[in-house]
Amino acid sequence: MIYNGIMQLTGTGYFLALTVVCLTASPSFAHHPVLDAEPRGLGAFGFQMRFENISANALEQDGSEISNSQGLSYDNRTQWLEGIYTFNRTFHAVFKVPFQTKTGRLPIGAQVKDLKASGMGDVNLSFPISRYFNAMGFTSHMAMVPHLLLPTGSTDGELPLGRGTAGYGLALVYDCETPRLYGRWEVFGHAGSKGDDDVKRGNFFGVDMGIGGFPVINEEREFSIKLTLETHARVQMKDKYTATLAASTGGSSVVGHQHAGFYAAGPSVTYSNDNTGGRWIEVGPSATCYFRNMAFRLDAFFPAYRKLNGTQLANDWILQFTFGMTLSKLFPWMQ
Amino acid sequence: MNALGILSTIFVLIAAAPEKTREIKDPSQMIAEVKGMVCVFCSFAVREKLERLEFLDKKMFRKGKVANVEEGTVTMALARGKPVDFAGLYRIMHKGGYDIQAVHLNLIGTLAGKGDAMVILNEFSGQEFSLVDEYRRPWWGPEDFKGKRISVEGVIPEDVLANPEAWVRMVVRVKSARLAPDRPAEQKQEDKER
Repeated sequence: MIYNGIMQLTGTGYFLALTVVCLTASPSFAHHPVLDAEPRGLGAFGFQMRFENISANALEQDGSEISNSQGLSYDNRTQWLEGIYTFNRTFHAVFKVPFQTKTGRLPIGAQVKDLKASGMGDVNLSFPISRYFNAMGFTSHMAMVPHLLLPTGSTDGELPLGRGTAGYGLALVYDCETPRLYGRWEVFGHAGSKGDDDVKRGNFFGVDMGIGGFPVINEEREFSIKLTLETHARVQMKDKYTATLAASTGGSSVVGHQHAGFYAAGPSVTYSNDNTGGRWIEVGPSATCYFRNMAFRLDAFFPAYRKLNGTQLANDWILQFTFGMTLSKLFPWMQ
Repeated sequence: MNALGILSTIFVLIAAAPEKTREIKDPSQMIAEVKGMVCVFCSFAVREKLERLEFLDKKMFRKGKVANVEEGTVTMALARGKPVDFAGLYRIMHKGGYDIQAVHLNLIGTLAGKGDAMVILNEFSGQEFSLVDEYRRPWWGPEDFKGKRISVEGVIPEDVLANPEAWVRMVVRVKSARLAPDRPAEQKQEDKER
């Protein structure tokens, strides 16, 4: 889940767009419920609630931390409600609905403001197309997962909950498992069109990997524990906005933004926001407890590498808790 | 070979174990080898659906069955006098995302010829099974087995389980066979009453 906001700092005579990049390892676009173990059985359901907490307090410029004398910060607590339905071994349908509470101390115009917003964000729908391979003591799964991001989140106010535009993407997933070992690899990308604010958020690409195993299996109690090391790598392009320029020199008035500078007149110009995008890698442990048809998972992600463009707020670590369950039928009377 | 292929090979080599000899001496039990069943959580829905099978003795194990993901097996307790629904078992596993590699069982009854086939009427379930050797030819057995009560350890392979035509009279490949003692009188009486 990535939030981009463009704000201004005037008074110093230059245009500074501060972008908050939520370096979320959140599997918003690739991973699928339930905790990546989609129910295999025909007509089976899976649901999960995922609680994600991201705090960004560090101000970085060209890859190095700089003084954050104004105490700029950004917090995003998201509760995801996710579900999956398995039509058959091949086709599934997934929904992911975020409920967000965002707070931030961010520059708006000439001021630094304390902002808050809460509500539903953009809903993600995806349709995994899977293929399983089974052998004695081994199973593997490949999937192609196209997704749509629906612009259901509000774009009102200075801290929007949604992107204001639909998005789309594709993930390729491979995972394999033995009773004691587990591995998962994913490659995915996401693109979107221009939003209400004439900004096209940067496309991003990601590679996720989780490797580990099951140190505890107790069949009698239907209980097991999985431990994995997760690695998430992301590359995000810069945001772009297209604006109509008035013919002027020494400064220009651009729809929705103000610049100090010189721009040649033209019907429209596309700018890149140099304070958006970047690349980063996060690493962290993940522990999952399984009991019967329920699963509880705790993830912690730490930045191992980060190179953000321009000046941006960046988080230090991310915590995520997930509870999920599978059901062979939604209601007791169903066959 | 690409990276995915290498990784999968490593996983399979680690997982692969020498083929286990599954001995099953008890006609009231049956063992299914299930491909892909490696996870207690992932197999929950399938294990739940197995409970619907009427031929299971739900008083035994956990509602008639117990899974072992490390061996990839489901051991089922059979109810006396109830025919095993192999078709239902296969369908539940297949729809659940798994594949049955083989079913191991123990049959006890009298060997008899029926047309081209050698058949045993399993006393425990009341079902008839065709017995074949490893080459899928009718299994004749030693001369002194004819007309006698025998105990057969057999296996039903995957291609037979997946073949609807075989569900009428299941074909069992004989692993071992021995003469069985005469049926206890009370058991004969029980079967008569049933």
